[in-house]
Amino acid sequence: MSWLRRREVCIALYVIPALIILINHFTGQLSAAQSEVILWASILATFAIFLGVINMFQHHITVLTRKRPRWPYSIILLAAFISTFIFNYTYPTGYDFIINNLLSSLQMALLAYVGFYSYTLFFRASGTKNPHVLMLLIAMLLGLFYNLPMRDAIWTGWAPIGTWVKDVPNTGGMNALLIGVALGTITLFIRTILGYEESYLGG
Amino acid sequence: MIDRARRGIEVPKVRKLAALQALREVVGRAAEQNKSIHISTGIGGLSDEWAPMTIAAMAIFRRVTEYAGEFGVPIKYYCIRAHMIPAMEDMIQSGYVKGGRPEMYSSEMIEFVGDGQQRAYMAAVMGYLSRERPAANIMLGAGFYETYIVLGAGAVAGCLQIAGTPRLYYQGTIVALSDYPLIGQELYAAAAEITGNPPDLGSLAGQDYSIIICLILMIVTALLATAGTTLWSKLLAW
Amino acid sequence: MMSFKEWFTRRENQDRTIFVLYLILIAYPMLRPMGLPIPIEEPTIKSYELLENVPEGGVIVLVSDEGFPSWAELGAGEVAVYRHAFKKVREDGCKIICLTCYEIAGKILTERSISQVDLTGLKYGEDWVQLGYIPGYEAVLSAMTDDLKGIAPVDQFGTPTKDIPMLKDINSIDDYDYLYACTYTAMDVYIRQWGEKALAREIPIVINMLSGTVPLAMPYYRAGTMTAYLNSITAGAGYEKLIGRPGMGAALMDAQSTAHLLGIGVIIVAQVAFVIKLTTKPKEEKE
Repeated sequence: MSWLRRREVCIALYVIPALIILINHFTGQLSAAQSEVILWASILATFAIFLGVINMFQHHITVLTRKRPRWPYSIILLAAFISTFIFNYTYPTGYDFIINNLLSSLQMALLAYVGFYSYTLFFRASGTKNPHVLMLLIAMLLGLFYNLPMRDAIWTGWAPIGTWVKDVPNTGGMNALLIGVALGTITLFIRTILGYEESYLGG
Repeated sequence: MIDRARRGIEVPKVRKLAALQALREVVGRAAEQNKSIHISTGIGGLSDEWAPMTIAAMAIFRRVTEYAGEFGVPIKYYCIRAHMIPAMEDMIQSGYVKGGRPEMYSSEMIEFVGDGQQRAYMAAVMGYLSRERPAANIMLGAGFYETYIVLGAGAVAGCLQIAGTPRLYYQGTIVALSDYPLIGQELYAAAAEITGNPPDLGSLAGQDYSIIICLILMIVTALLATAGTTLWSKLLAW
Repeated sequence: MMSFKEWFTRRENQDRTIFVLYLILIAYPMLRPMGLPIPIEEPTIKSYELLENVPEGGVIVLVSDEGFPSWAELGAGEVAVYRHAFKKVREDGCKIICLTCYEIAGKILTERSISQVDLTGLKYGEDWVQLGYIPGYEAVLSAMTDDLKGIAPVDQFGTPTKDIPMLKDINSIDDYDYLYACTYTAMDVYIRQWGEKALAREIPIVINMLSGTVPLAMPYYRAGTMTAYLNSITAGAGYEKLIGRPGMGAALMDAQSTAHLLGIGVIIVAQVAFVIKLTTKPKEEKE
């Protein structure tokens, strides 16, 4: 059974489903096979979550048993995980409370960090003589003025300038990046299909 | 082009990417400072539409783990896709083995934070970067808005940052916050260049020729459309 | 006791100052609204008109793929669109299909949006249906254009979709008249799966997205693949104004204005300080 661990088998397991989906996309002849492949992938991904849960428990139980720094947080995490898991099946009201009142608020608070870090980003990026970063700063300023709700109260010219920046250089740049990234993705896919790219196999 | 490179007829030369040149230096600096490095493959996994970005990131991290093994630098990886755990465990362990320090590897280097739970990932990474202050923060792959958080927290913690994602929304963030950015498709090019294999380099040349063909088609279409002929653009649309 | 200049040169103190200023400038307008003007952008007006022009008895598909973190930005527009859509149901006999395919938070937020709509006189199953969370994201978006009942055999409440009166003659993109998605991640996913088919049938696609993703949407908007878009909270406030029901968007506009002004101020101040530092000769050189 050691042949199952050969690299060629692993690469075939990647390539065959990919080819099924690709062929079905262009010909529509393998839709049943595609549905099966997607279903198997979903099932595998779901089982993989068990791996993740085992890894998480391993890590935090090690922290607890060895009384590593910040071990109280491991208790909180494990208690939160177990209680949410149990509530989902036995106490739906409690589960809804956790999701609506705790989880949503915590997630919103974490996303607020994006705003704070954006402003430190503005501050760090400013103060430069690098012409590329200066162009980026000017574009940022124009974008900020364009998105300012009271922009017309300051100057009515921000709207046409912002619209031009959005429609001309931005669209052109995005189109270029889109094409480049799409071609890069296709190239990587071809390399993987041909077996030259093996990084997804691990070591 | 892949075939020509494989047969040795034409192996293209690739321009040096600063981020790749800096990889070894970055890991070496971490060893001098006696600190760890944090690596991130972003939110994407191997089973979604961002798989190519993750694969490209893993190709580069393979080399990073070898350097880490060579210099004796601990690595930390927070895993947001459960199916990435075995692949990354294998990669990091093999890296330490190839680098000559198999005893350094520990399964605690990979920590699972929830499947697709972006906010949990953000919290975990922010905590790690601000507590441990690793020497380097390397973020490659499919970055979502946690890119702001990871790179922002890394900047505040004073880490040397290498970042690259082909996802278009975050190019500005990467350029502004990282020391060595990989913009757009440079991540794919870096993944090919780091292996040094002729077929990989050949694929890069093929990609560049495709871009030139697209450019020519665009210019011809624009000129013909300006002249009032829509037949060409209809042909292309078909 | 160090001087302010010495204190401010430290990186963490610079960050703290910016954070505190940001907090004050966001919190103050929310507590004491200033009533600053609300602009209405052209894509917002287009989005409104596209929904308004859905024919009598038309089918409106609302895909809510936003998450909790993005509710502050996208919630205003989402609720405004839902209110407008349900108004179409009441006035023109349109039908609504609601679903989520990215994460389960979308289902909860769909319920939150519907809870803010007046449902008097409307009947679930005849006027609107909630299909809940259907895992699969892009695969679901693709499949719903061919076989809606296939990917959603039951609705959110467990009723088989083949038994729901409204869905008797609705199953594929040929039966839809308006496609709307609210997303806080990639918007090109919707264009990829819907764009070609919707364009061929002249079905409008309207996407409510974060302002950070609008630049990526521009190529699709200019090409006509995406018919219109809503630019996060600004569009949400504008849409509320268009339907005549100011809400969360209008309330947050002042905070957005002040926050943007801070961003502009930070960039200008930092760059000007840098230029002054460069051009000012040190005292030793002068002597």
